[in-house]
Amino acid sequence: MTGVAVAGYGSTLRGDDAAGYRVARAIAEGCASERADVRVLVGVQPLPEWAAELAEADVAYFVDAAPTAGGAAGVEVVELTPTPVGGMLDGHAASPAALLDLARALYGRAPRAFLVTVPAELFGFADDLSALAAAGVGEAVRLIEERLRAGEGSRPCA
Amino acid sequence: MRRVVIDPVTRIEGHAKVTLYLDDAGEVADARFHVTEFRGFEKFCEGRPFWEMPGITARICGICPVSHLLASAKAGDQILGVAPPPAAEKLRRLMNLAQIVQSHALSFFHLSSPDLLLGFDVPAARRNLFGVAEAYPELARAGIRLRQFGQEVIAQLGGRRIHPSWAVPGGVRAPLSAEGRDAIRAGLPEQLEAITRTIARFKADEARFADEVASFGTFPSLFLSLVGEDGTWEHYGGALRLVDARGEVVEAAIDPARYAEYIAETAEPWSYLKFPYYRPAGPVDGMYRVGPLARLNVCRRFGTPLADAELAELKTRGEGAVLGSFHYHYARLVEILGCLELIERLLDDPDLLSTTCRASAGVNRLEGVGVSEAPRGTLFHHYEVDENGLLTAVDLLIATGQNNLAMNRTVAQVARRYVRGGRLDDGVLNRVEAGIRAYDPCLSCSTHAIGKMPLVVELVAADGTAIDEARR
Repeated sequence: MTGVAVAGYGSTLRGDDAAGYRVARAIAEGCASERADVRVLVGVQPLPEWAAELAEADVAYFVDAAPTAGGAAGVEVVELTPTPVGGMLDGHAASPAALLDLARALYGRAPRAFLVTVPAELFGFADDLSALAAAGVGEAVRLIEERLRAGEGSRPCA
Repeated sequence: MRRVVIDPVTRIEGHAKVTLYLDDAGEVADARFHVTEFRGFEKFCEGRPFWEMPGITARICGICPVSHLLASAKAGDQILGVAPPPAAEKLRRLMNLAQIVQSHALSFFHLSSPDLLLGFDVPAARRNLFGVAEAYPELARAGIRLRQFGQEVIAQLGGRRIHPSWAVPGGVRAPLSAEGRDAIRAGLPEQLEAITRTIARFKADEARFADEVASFGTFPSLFLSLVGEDGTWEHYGGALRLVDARGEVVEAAIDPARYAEYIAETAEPWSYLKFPYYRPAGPVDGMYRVGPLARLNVCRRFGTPLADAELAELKTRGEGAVLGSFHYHYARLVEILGCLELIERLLDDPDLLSTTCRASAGVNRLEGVGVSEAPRGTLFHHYEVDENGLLTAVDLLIATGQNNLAMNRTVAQVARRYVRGGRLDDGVLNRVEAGIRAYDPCLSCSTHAIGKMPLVVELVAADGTAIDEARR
């Protein structure tokens, strides 16, 4: 078992859409660089092959950008349950709940999983984040690292 | 004439729609495969330094960024006027082989296996990867592991699985470590076993699809690919060879840099995808196919024992060349097998761990053509630069575009076989889509959209009115 999987995704060429990707990269360069039991997955979108790596984790965090409707929303964490989605699963991308279900179907187990959403407002062609999303990325990294320090996975971060 | 539209086409890379034109008797008279996204890399790259092109053009596609990376770096080699060090060429070859493995695994296991394993008439809600996972979990796991393996090789070389900025004009940025080589080697036995099992399963089921084999793009055409001097399968170097429907050589060894003398392109107002053809034969008789089936029709031997045995069996599916595009699926599996064998062989090469892997130079030529075999077929990057290395012209000839004429003809053939009474049903929709999917088209690559890959099929009457439409 790898302990914890952190899966962040989004397009780095679409402004705030990269928020999840940037959170995962920050975890990879921070806490995960010190711990063999933290596996970081990054991509433009969640991929079906991530199911194999999720099946080896006890806990998983999916990190994604969430468009706000002009409100000053903060980072939110919602627990996920594996959900049979049938036609929603294709070869290119899959929702986190579908990936959990695929992990369970193929490997007999799925981790306890959470969706961490970072508030986002700008999705045009850009390789930087809005102030709102940049603040959310920092908050999400702190939140996930706090949980890792609190003992998720086999041992806490230094 | 009446018209049928399938919009959008699903489980392909990009966004497309199909229009079927019916005659007065309600039979399919013509078909058009419209590509409705536009990207424009050829135009907006003008003015950029050619050094940036591997990184920019790799962003064309998240599935086959390596293909663009390599073709672009090869074009850059020519502008520099240098031959990359031996280690650089071998490392580039290793990455391209891994790219073919992971892309073919995506195409076969994730996109096409729902049709092939579950059947074309199973409802779309069940005919997907999850349906395969429930019915054939071992094969679904094999697909995931093969794709992971290919991506891990790419990550070992380029530092990341997608969009590695690694190949550059003159060579590659970083060598392969001994640990990286050993990690790749350790993964090979499992993958070879998985693909061997998958091929056996595919062949056991093949007889169920006699109707689809006969109607999914089964017609004479030319076939184009790179090939080695002795007729061995090639993916990175060598010369371009064109064979006809009888398997006879039409052009034995075209210098890749002179491709434009042999390949012409036309455009139609109803599609953003260009229509390349073999120039000497004109746009009708000059239709040619590229990709795994073309490569295996062009080559005489793969050059590895297991793949050569499968190649011999594949060639029994035709007299001369294998003409049915349904056989692209089998060809993809044979190529996965052969690429794994070639990776195994490359790992024993003493040059592979050399740290001399990049040649340095300035702008020595004002033009460069880079050609490689992408998973979907032959890929051309053609750049012209000024004395400062700024691009003045860019031509990207993509595999999917080269299959455009054949895909249109395939849609017409499938529709004539399955559309009856001027009505669309799921069976028709599924088979039209699957006929296109056999080519594993990547529209994001070949139209230079941001978008997903949804199919609209529209049925149009002889008087031009739309009489039915199916949409996913």
